[in-house]
Amino acid sequence: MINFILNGKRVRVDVPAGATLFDYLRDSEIFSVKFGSEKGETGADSVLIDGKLMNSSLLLLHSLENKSIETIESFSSGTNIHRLQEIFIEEGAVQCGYCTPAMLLAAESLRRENIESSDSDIKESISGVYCRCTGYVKPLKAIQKYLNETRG
Amino acid sequence: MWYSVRSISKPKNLQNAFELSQISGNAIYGGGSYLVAEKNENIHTLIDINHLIGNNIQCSYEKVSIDAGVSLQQFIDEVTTINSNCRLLSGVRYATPSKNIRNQRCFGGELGQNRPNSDILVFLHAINAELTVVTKNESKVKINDWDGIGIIKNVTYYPKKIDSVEIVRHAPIPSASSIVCVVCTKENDALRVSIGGRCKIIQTFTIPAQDFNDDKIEQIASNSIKFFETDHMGSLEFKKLLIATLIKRAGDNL
Repeated sequence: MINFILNGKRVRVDVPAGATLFDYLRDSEIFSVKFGSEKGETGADSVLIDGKLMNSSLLLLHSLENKSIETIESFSSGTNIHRLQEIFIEEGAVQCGYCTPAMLLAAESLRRENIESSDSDIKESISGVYCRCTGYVKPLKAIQKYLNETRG
Repeated sequence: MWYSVRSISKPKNLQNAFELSQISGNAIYGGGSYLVAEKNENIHTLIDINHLIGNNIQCSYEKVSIDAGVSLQQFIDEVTTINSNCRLLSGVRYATPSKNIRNQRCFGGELGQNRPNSDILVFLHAINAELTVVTKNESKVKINDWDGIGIIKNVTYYPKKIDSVEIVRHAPIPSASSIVCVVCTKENDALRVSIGGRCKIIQTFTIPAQDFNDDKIEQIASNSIKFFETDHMGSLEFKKLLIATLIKRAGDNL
């Protein structure tokens, strides 16, 4: 049995030893976490583990005892979306949307680091998230706007 | 899903973990970024050592000490604050461009994998870092003398003893792994040159500083090219010239 916190709720499950976090999230119908590759090359499978961005396909669920796991599902409730999501829409930072949940988690992870972030810090924060549509310009602008707003 | 894995054991100590790791089909599990990506079907039991390895960093002019459980991103975050001049920082940044993976990948795994194209390893070979390795006993061994057997607990080096260090690399784009990475250090009138990249092993050469000239560079390049291969990144002749150019650049900057 393994215990962890998923999107604020304590979970206790029994899964096979070789189950990755990605496998579990899919079985739990959490579909914001996308399949990219099983080698961590795309970052579309990103989640926050204790606030840090990691690839769910590279994490065995058994290594996450007592960890806090967050996906973008925890950011919004029904039609009430998070301010970060609003900004991505306002800035046109979403195209196909496949990598967007990972981008949003990367932005939120950077905000929580609570350090003054330069453009290179923002680029670094999404360095593990592959986007083939946007060219990164608008997501970078959206993240900058979010950080400016939340940090005053 | 890693279908071949049937169990994960949590040993009481690293000696016990080492003994278990010697059994066929068992593998040490730390950060897991290499292991889970590979999903080797011959592995059926993982030896989880995350509760047995530390994650402390000590970084000063006198001593740099990194526990095996320190993630690459943790190293960047902490060391940028306490000593932004630490020369290992660039090697860690180039080890993988992905912050996601740097959050997960630990020094122990990076050292244990012994990948020649890891700029971190090339740096640590040039500086001849000291490893704390656990087998049946715990011992300290210089990285250039390590036989690759055992679980790494800590890596330590002493910047004060090194007069200067220079890292040069060549990659198709900055975020790609190196085709060739050369690290030169100067210590007591001796130069140590470590060469890594897309090759079979990291090679280290030690020469007296006064012998550093074009002939010696040519000799080192000729010896080291044996461990490279012609591939889509270039011919052996091109790589040999590249190695010589990088050694000269690193040596001249010392």
